[in-house]
Amino acid sequence: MLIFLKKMLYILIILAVNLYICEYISNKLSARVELRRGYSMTRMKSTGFPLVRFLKYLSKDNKLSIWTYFTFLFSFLIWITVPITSNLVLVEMDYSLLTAVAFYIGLIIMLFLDSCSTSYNDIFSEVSKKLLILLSFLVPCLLSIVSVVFINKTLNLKEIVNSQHQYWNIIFQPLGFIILFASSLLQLKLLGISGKNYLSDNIKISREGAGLAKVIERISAYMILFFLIMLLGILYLGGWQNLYFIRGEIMIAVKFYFIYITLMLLDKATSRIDNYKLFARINWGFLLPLSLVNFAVTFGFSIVRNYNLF
Amino acid sequence: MIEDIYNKVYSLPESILVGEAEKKIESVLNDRIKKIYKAGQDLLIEISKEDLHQVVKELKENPELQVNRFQSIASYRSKNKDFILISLTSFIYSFSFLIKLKISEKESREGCPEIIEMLAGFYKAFDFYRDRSELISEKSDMEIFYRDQDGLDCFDLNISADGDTVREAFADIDISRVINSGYYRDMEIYNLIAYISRFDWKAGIFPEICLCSAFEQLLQLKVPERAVYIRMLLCELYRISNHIYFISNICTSLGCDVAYNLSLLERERVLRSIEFITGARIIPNFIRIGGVKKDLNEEVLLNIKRVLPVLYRNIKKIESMIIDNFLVKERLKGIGIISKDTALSYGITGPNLRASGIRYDLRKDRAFASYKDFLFTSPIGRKGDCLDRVIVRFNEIYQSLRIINQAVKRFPNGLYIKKINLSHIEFQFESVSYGVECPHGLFKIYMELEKSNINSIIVKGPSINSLILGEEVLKGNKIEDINIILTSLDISSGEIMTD
Repeated sequence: MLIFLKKMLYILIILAVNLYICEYISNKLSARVELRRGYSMTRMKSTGFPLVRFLKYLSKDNKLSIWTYFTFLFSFLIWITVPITSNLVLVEMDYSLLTAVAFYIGLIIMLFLDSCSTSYNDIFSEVSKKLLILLSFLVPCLLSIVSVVFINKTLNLKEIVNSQHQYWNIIFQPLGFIILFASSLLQLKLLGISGKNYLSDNIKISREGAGLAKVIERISAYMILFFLIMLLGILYLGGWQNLYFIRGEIMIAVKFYFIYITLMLLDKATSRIDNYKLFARINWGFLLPLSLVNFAVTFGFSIVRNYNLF
Repeated sequence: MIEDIYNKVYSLPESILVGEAEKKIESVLNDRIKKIYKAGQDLLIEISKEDLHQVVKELKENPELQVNRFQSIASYRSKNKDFILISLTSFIYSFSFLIKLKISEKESREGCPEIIEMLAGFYKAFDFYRDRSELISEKSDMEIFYRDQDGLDCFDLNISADGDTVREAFADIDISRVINSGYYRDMEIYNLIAYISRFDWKAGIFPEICLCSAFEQLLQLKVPERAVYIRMLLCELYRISNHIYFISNICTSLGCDVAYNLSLLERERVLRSIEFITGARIIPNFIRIGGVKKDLNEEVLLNIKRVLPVLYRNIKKIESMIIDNFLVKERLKGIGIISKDTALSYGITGPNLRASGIRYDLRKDRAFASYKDFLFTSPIGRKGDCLDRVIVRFNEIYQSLRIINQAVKRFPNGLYIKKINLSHIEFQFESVSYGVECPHGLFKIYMELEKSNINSIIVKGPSINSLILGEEVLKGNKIEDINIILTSLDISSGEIMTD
């Protein structure tokens, strides 16, 4: 029990530190892109910015819906089965990937319900459109994950990492990596970490400085992003495998921040996507067919390999 | 056909065309017209209220005149009497037909509902001037306020929607109503020049040029060539500044942070060049009757020469960031389409009209200033959608840079102002109308002068026509596209101001 609590504490500390650093990097990148130096409140190299922002959000009273509480809960539940390093995992499971994806989908559904509820709490706005958008990037994401499972023949995340000791999965699954990466980028745009949030466009919490709901929404958005980056690292880039003399823990941190900064830069470079037509065009026209092709090819190869057809 | 082509290439001087039209109208409507004469660039027809229906019908339906384009309507007070001025144009002639009629004080207060009702039968755009408060409250499903974006903050938009598609849109400009007619009376001309720039704060030089040129035409004053070149230089610099600002607005709507910030940097570069010449950035107060306030020195020309290639390179970079970007292209393509006929009937001018595929540019058509000595083209679009409007503006920036480059290379020497003493000048009762091609379209000033006083002045910018057309264009588009469509029309808040 003590070990469990200790691990939980470690995971929470890592998440909190990561949140702080990522918020800081996000602010710095935004400031640089907008050709400014940062907020005057945080002149000391802007290190105090995330804390100031957190307090600023809390300074305003705002009504919380029931979905916001669930969102908060799910954003931590997602880390139960995802191993951060080889030893740092809360619950050891054979189907850890499946459980993690289930929690991730749960979190997305909670965010969706949260975003669709209006200030009246009994009317849902643009439900079908938002549902379609969410499905359109979830399906390619899941298809690429299934393709990796076909290659490694396991649902355990630790085993997937261990099976990459010789070659990383990105060599066998370049298309899958591109799909998951693109999907992550689109989700980042939807969640609006560095810009306007499309999902919660209609409700009050999308505006800056609007209470605890904004903090929770932002934390959950970060959790989804962290989860996707961890998935990219674990499934395709060898996870916490040592690189010569460099320790695995350092390697996973390097991969994490490399992917995070790349995603943020791409997010800044591209325009805002707040249009359903455009989303449908990208997801149904590009991501979904590509992921289906990738899935079909992987499935075909796995059948050929299993039954020794050649 | 050959004759048509010949007439297009070697167009007749404007005065001959005005005379021709004057004769035609006189022959057809001789008994209904009180007075007909040339007022500045345009033809002014004075009629009584009873004859308005017949006159407008004849003007519109006569195949030799084809006055089928709405331009503007305004009421004004001159010599303690109320008048209404209706401006209509024809595609055959590049000038306007101004119809002036006297109305009672009560009608003026109520907004002449009968006249507007009657005119709405001929021109659809007059619907905008009707009292629509009941109609709006009955049909409107939602009200949109764009308070955070420049140009869209001067009106309220009421939408009647069918799902997420706009069925009907109504723009309400009541919030931009200001009392400004009292300002002009007994105002000295120099003060008026400083004041008039506020009508178009995005490109403040154009109202000044329009006003001064109107006086110059009235006084038959020939401006020195150096002054004309300085004016042209400033016109093009302000045009570039306005178009870059337009691009930054589009970038804000699209969420292109990088392109937005880069475009503002370039605008800053242009504004600094303007500041170097005029000493001011937004409201220059630089043009004078007969020339300009201050001469240019070699240092200024050298600075402009140095800035031009940098500007070209950077704007090309911004263009590639916007136009070559798949996301942006897909977002702008196929929305807010303005067909040629719609564009003409609603009387829009400038880049918005050219984006619909009609090559109409006052700089070319009226040979304004010395533009005829320069090599440049008026870029046109194909479909008339939002993407075309953005591309046309980018191309206009390049053409403006081309004009500036040519002007700087052969800048003439001589006087920068023809000094005249205005204190002893006294006019008889005169009406004058003058228009210039400002970055949004045709900017027009109509004045009535008597002795040394300005009796009345009407300022009409092109943005009001764009807004009226905006109501029509929004129909059938998605609600999420409204912001981008209205931004692409480049509406200037100052021009929407009405009494």
